[in-house]
Amino acid sequence: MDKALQTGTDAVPPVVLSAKTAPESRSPWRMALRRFLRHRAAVTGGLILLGIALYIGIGSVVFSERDANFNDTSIRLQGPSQEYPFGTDSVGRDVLARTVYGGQISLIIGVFAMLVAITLGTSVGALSGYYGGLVDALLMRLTETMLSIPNLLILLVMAKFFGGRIPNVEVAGRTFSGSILVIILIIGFTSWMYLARIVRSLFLKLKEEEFILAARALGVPNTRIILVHILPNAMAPIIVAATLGIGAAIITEAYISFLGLGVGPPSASWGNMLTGGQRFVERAPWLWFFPSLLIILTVLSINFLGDGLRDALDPHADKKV
Amino acid sequence: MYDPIVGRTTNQIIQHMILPVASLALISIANYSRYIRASMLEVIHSDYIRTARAKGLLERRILFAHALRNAVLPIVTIIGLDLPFLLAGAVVTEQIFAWPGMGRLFIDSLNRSDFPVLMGILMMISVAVVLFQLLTDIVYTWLDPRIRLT
Repeated sequence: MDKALQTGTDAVPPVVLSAKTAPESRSPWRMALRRFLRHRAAVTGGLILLGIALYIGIGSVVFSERDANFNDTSIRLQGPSQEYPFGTDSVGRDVLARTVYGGQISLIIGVFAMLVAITLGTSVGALSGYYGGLVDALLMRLTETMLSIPNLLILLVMAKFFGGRIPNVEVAGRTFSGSILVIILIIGFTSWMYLARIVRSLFLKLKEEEFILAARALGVPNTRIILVHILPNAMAPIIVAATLGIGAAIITEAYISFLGLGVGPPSASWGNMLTGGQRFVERAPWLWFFPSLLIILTVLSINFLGDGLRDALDPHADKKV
Repeated sequence: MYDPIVGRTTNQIIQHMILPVASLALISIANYSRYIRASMLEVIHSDYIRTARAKGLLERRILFAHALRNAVLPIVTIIGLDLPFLLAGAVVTEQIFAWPGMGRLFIDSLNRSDFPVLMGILMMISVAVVLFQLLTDIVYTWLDPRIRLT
């Protein structure tokens, strides 16, 4: 449509043009989708993520979890071969199968940690922005306190403190290390602060709008105003933060697992595969190459996706360019 | 940290600092260049840049002396906020490059469940965060007189 506008201005009188374009009315979501599709990097990121999801999905059909944890020291540290395309690790486990199951764990941690962080951040932000006063003061001091202690250190202390206390969980016939739950919760509990501040400032602005005044005049209860009237209007930054949060959580998981305090056996994760590869950096590069490649690809595409969503969901985006 | 045969000379320590410093710096470089880009885009459309252009200054001079000097200001805040976190965030880097720093001490004490040391380190970093924030606020008003703290 833009091209038609540019090339057509000389030949066609503007009145006709506007008449031509007028019937095409678009909802905000369709406009957002349009802007998103124009963002090449974001679309590529989305496609790569889809590819990784397929890789993990198909991989878990081809390999059973037993394959991923089966060790045979007679074939330890073998390079990539026909039988083991990604090689084998220091106790002879198949690296390919482990990247598949490690990926599951890493993505599960990413998504659920993000959900915990989003829920917490949005609730804190919404409450303190909407109610103001004492609630606001208390919640914001709490947020600032959390912000002034480096994440990684609290994470490590919490991982150490809670790690090993939670027994392994059996879900759908599979055994998950209890440490996964710990990691999800502690990443969630230490990464909600920025979102809380963003949501708070949005709520501060939105609660002064006329439609909220109207809702209040009609006697709509506070919880309903927060959830039904304000929250949908604050959705865009929350979606962006959610997307970027998954990437950040995957990186954080890799950090703590690398330091040996994250996901423990029997579960594999991309992070603890790196720890295993650290001692063989030169002797067995395939040990760290494939997990780190997957981490980089995933996080990079998530970040591109987040950038694309930020541009797409910003209603002023068209005017800026 | 140093080659035991050569001993603990400045040269040795600098040599062994190259990789850890580079790997820590690369992460921050990516971050800062995005910030600078954003603030550069904002500054480049301001009136005094147009004035500089109108005076017929060299483009290079406009970019570096006029635009960049103002665009760099917000970075001061971010550097101030980042410094204490860099102190702490070097945990992984110190672990990989086997530097006996505070991050390493943190991990070692953690593995030994030596909580007083952990609390000491956390305390120090939290104080550093507050101090650096105060410092950046002061430096910022000095660099950019348009900002006034009331």
